Amino acid sequence: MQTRILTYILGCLNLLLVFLVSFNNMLALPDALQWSGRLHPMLLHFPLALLFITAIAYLFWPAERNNPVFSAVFALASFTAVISALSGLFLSHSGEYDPALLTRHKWLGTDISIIAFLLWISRDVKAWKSILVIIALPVLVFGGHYGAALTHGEDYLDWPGNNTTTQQVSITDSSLVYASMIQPILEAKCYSCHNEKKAKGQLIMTSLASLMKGGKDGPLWIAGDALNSHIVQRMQLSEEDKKHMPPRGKPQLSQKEKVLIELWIASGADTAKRIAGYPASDTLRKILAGFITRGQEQRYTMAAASASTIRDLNTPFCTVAPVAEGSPALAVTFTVRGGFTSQQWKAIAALKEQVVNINCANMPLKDEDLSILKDFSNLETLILSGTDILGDGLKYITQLPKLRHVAVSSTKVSADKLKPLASAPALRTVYCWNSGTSLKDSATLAQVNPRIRWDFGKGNDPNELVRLTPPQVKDLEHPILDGGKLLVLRHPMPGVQIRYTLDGAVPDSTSSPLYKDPVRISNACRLRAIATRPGWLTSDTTDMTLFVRSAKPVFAKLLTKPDSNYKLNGVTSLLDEKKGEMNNIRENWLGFHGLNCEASFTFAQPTAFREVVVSTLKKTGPHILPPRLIELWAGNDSTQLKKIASIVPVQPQKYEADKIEAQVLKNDGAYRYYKIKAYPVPALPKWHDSRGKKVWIFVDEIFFN
Amino acid sequence: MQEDLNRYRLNVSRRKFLTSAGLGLGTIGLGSLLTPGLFNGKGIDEAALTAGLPHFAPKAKRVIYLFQNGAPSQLESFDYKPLLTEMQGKDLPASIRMGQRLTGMTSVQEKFPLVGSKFKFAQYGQSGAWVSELFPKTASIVDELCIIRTIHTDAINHDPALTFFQTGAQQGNRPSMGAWLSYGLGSENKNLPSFCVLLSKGRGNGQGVYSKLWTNGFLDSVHQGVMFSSGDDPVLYLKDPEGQDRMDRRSMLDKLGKLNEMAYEDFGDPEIHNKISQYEMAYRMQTAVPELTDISRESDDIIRMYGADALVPGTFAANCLLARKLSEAGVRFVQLYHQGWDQHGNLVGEMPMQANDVDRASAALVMDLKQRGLLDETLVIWGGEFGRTNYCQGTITKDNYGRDHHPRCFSMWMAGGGVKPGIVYGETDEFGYNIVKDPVSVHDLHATILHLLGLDHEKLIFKHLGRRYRLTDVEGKLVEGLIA
Repeated sequence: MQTRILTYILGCLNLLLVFLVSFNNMLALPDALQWSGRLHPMLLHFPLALLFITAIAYLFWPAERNNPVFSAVFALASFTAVISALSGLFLSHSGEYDPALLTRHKWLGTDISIIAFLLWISRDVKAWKSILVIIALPVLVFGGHYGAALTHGEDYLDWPGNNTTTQQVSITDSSLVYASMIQPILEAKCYSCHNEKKAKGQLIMTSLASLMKGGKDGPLWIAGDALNSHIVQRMQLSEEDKKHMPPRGKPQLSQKEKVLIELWIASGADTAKRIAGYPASDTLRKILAGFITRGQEQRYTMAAASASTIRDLNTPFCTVAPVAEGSPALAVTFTVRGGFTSQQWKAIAALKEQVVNINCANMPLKDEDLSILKDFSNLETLILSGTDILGDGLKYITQLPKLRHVAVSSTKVSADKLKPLASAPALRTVYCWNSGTSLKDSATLAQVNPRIRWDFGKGNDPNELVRLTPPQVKDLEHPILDGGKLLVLRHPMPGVQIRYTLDGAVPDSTSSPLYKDPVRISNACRLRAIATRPGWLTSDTTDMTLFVRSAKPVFAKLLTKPDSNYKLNGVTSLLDEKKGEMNNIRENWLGFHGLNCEASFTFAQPTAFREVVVSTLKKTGPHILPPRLIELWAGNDSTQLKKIASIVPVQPQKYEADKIEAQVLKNDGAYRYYKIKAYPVPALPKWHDSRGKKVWIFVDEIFFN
Repeated sequence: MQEDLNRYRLNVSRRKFLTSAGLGLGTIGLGSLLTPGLFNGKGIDEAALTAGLPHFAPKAKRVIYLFQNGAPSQLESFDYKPLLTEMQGKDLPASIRMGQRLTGMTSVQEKFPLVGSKFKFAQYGQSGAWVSELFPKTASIVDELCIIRTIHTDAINHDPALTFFQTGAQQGNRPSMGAWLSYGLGSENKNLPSFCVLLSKGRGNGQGVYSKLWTNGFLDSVHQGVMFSSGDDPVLYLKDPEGQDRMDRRSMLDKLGKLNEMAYEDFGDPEIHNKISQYEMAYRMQTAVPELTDISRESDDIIRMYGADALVPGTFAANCLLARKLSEAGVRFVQLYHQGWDQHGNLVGEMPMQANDVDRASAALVMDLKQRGLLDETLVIWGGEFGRTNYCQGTITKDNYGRDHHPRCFSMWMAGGGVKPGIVYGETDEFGYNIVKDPVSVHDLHATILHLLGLDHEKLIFKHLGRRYRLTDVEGKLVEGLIA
């Protein structure tokens, strides 16, 4: 009876376990239960040991297999297994575990509990027991292993010596030779006796200025003359010599270091020269090339932040993410000026150990906000470009031990405010282009600390003039203006003057009318406009033909046939007020290949138009040229028309830009019947690749004004 | 994705659970023992494919790809071949052509008259790279650039070649490179798509670009490229309809979100969650996008650097400036296309215009990034879909010629993001027709780009239709020589 109750209890507990494990995602635990999870590390050893010993005993002493003591052990094992599995599950809810490992451990733990339970039920069935015991062993080993990996870390069993933690400074082609190669040698081998406090032989080597000053025997080196330089002479003396440096008993310069120093002095001892600055054939360059690292991957050793902290700090406007999979180091990016809040900024202080990279470009960040950064002991890169800082806040970051790169481009930070940064111990680059500094500050700043590269950018060549863009015509989808429509010109750059002409003349930057207010257009005309601004080159000319809405004939007819590919709706296409585009000759254009374009128009009564405007296309590439000649015929008897006007459009003399042109024919009286005749150029001219071939005429509209 | 599928499988009723539980608890236990993690997502295979973080510490975090659509001629830009000028008009030797397939546009030509560059070349910078006079600004920054002269591709026509560059396959059903990176690296800025597309048009002979080039393919739709246009609405459909204010929008989204959440509980379709998060992102983009496209905060110096075009939306210069701003704001992949580089004829007339459009702004972008301390973590890529032939298409005239498509070798450049600066990589033969040293295939280029971003191209996999897909398909090897 008791055994049966025990079986029920164990069965129910196992069922509960499987249920909870399966729906783990939806499980919410009261605090008390979550606390009970902490018993897991203690409880788990019971089933582990019991099952392990049972399995061993079972396998090695077959005679004892039916010993009733096993039943008791199975009961105990099953009970402790299910309890410890449940407590483990509760413990897992405190978060902070590697999810992949956790899943494996969770299921293997559940399996152990189930196997123990099955062992208990089948305690009287020999065959079952043997199978279960054999299954139990590997499950125990792996379940236990993953559990241990969860608490002690996956590398707990790594062979000693495999986990190197040294950080290597990467040296590239663009590294400063002095800052990256020479200074570190001096720092390691000389600073200990030649610093501000100790200054043996009155020589201080810790700053470039004091190095240049030298000690009691004068300057340390003569640029370009290695053999007469003190430092070289001293280091080349034999170690027994009293004047040899470093003195006996102190760490000595290696052969390679000596060669480097000597060659560097011989080549001019230039503190601002980069590795790439030396010719490829130079011996120094060849030696330096050996030091260039392939940017060794850095390994970070700080403790990882908890997953929940990282999760909480991730908001739509702030992204916190590891720099690489599995790395404890974090990069923080703030985005969207409108979404930036100072609480959110302050909140990242919770990660002061882990953050190595902060990008808050263009955020409304103030100087005072930088105060939270003073404890960011691993911060390496700080991008402050485009923020609202003025520079006073930089004092909070001058002592950060790992800070290597700071960007204050596009801020108002001035050179004096940058100076304190020079004391930052690891700082290498300050990007101060387009800030409150100017190029002439670069010399003073470079003096402060030669290890730091102050990047003022290449900047623009002050002597180079850049061309403005041409003025734009506003809101003009097609250039057919109503009588009353105003022409509005504009330019995207503030401070630009627009000058224009409407008679086709080339606009001049001094004498042509200056555009101030919108202009009323009443005739078809050619607009040409330029933009000017002091310090910039005058823009190219905006060149556009404007048309004015016209009277409509009652009847119109094409007298010649357009090409079948470009015939559209025949003559109505010429009067529909739909202008064609230069780049789309399939729409709104009528094309005539080697033929005249002739059309007649009839008005209800004789009308005295000022002018008739034919809109034609010039597109030299695909053989579309302006007509050779256009004639206007008119009269009040449809059979007796006379030639009123003719024009000879200007022909291109080479490949030219595409253009829509207004061919204006002056009228001289009131007529009812009008006729237009446009004659093509007989053959493509000599300058054209396809010289001699037939020429196209393209017409999209005819206006009667 | 796998996780969603499993969550869907777990989305069962109590009755269903008890029925299947009746099969025996042991089965479940054993099942999970055989495939650990059966219930939480990653199967054994998938363990390697964690998405959303770089596999190792990356050199670059972001990419700006300045695609020169239409294929600019390498022979008038970065691959200097004086021999072609010497042999002007002579026929291309068959020993050089070696039966290479040609496009239908020149395969009918009886002669293949060699033609040299009409534009002068000179050496620049410490690297001594040869650059033509068409690209003076690019020439002035060659020491920042890694010029590759030996890219080669499999395709010979625009559409397949472009598709190949963007997706690693010519057919156009695969995810675009930007989508792969969005999938592989996740987003730095949750208020903008991690893959943005900007288009501009030159005045030269153009070829089309289409949205299939920035598709997410079989990846989740959140990885799709989003095109910014040049008009008043840089991102279409982003503005609230008239009469709706921000509060209305918010409460509408909240209610819609609840309804969608209910639908998700019923169906378990992960696309529902994608939809919710896309609506939310669009809501935040309503703040983020106007901020980005507003260039009034940029100084006169910057406009001077990019050229005055930078103030005219829709130009290449404006797009470069916008790309810098997008990249600075954490957008993983900004894809520009500049059309108009297809100079089959009138190369002498068109190429200077095209080069003039892009030269100043491309160089300005590189320097602008550098001067902000962002070039180290931003990879800039410049290049077309293939090269152009060393012989003339049609007949050579006194002062003009044209060039047909040439997939066997062409030039590109990259800058920043961990590529070696100031080098010229690879060599072509004297005719500029074949590669003689250090070829780089499109797959190799992809593998290298992924590497720079901290991704192993063999591990960035997505399983689809029973097969594991990669950007580099089954090829691609890292080009060590390009990496700093």
